[in-house]
Amino acid sequence: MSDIITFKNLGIRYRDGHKALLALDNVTFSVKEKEIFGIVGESGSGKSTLAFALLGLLPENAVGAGQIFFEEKDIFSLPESRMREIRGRQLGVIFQEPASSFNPVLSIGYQFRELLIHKMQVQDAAQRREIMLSYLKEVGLKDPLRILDSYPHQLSGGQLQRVAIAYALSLKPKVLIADEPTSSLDVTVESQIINLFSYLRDKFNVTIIFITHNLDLVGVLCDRVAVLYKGQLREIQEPAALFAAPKDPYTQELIHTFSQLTQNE
Amino acid sequence: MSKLLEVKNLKKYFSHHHCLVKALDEVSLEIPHGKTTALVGESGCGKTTLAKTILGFYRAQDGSVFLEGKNITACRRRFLARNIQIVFQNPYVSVDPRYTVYATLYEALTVFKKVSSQEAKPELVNLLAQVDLSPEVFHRYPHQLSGGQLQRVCIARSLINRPKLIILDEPTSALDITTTLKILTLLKRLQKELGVSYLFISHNLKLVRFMSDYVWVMYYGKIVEWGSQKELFENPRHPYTRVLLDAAYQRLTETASETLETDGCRFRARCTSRDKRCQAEPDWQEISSEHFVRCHRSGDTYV
Repeated sequence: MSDIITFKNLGIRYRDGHKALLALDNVTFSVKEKEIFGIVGESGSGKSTLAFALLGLLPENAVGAGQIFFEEKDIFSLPESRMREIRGRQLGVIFQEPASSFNPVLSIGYQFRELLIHKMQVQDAAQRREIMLSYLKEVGLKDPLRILDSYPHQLSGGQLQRVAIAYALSLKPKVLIADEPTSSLDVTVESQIINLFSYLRDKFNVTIIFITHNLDLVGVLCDRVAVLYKGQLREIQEPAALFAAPKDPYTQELIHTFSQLTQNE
Repeated sequence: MSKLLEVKNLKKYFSHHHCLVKALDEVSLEIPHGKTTALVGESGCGKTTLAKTILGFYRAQDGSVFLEGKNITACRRRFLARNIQIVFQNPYVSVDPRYTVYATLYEALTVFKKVSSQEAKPELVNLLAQVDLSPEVFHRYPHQLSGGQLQRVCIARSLINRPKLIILDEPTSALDITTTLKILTLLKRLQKELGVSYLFISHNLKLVRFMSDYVWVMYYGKIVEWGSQKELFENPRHPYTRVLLDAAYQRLTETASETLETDGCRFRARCTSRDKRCQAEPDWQEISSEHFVRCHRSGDTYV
């Protein structure tokens, strides 16, 4: 399989007055096509910065260096107008807090329609309806007609996250970036969403970049995992190898902490 | 086990869009001295309602709460606050953003004690040392601290008047795994040193296993199973407990349906092994002296 995304010597600093905070330090790695690629690290490790850089959503005080190749084209230096064509359509994204990904005063169906009209140019109402219902069913929502008429506050966190995934997939992206998509959900809902991701990768042939601090999820879901610590890439491994024989001292400590918590006493 | 807190047949109903939501439906629970009792269940099952009712923030429609044998159901908040404290999930919204750490702790201290800010200092220095913070943080504001540091401040605040029980409502859900381990280890150490009891509310069964001596499982306003940590994890008998365990250990879980039954066994819509008996409300079945379950099929053997 060929590489779909390559980060090359990516460095990001955040300016804060006269100081500059190093968020990513010379990070280089590639994600292969149709891979579920995990990125783990603590808060402040730079995992979300990496996602924002990829999506061209870095805040104004960020200073970047290096390149990000998407299908062999450097997208890191693209102007916002060009990035808008790629974001959503090529690179889909799912955020941590599903409730804040929606407009609270518009129905789920209204927001879905807007998306299909503006991003996919689907002008025919009947066709739009068919697309909406099929994607909502695809992400495991049992009553898509009711969901379309609902407002965000009427749905549970798990249902909203499924809707967010349906929105993202309906634009047929090549890569789906999920930034801690299950951190605000129950464990039972979390395991359902995790299963959904594996299913969707096979069904839609989409590459998934899965950002999390939960090593459990990485173990069951990902093909390869990158460990970030204070902006540095420490190690890339398959999860089984990472758990069995972590090479980097930080990864060793992380795995050790994790096993202390999960084994009893 | 000697009982510190006993909850008896507590009922708390809310009306929501003309429906009655039974957040606590005759909930009974016991918390022993000096141990950690966990309360687990998904969001919306009533865990936090129970905590708030114990703390006196809600008045129950029916039932009672006993602290060391004394009925405290109708006691004033002031009395309850002296004996029972709480640490919330998100430390950043549990303290006043415009108060320094010193002001936050001093305010909590003066609820029950008349001391000047100067006189309080040695006591507050000690308190911070107990949660492994140095006095340097005294003059910082909440936004200048990390989540782990601020949660330590919240733990220190809860300890200030030496309560008998601290309710920990998902105290580490907003924190990293490494910080989580540090905070939980700190809480265990404080329990050993001070003999304080914890009610640990969580939906993460791995953390529950690490922290607790006893576990109570709640499903939509009902306790469905309780037992010692060892019994519950090694021999879970309620299908809901097994669903939670499967999810925590990343085993594929079934869900038959998400609809909620309002009579009989409330879990039966989601249960894969339901039968005719489940239309009637199950009663407590004893598995051992420290393990009870509310399921008609508890006598059946599971694979």
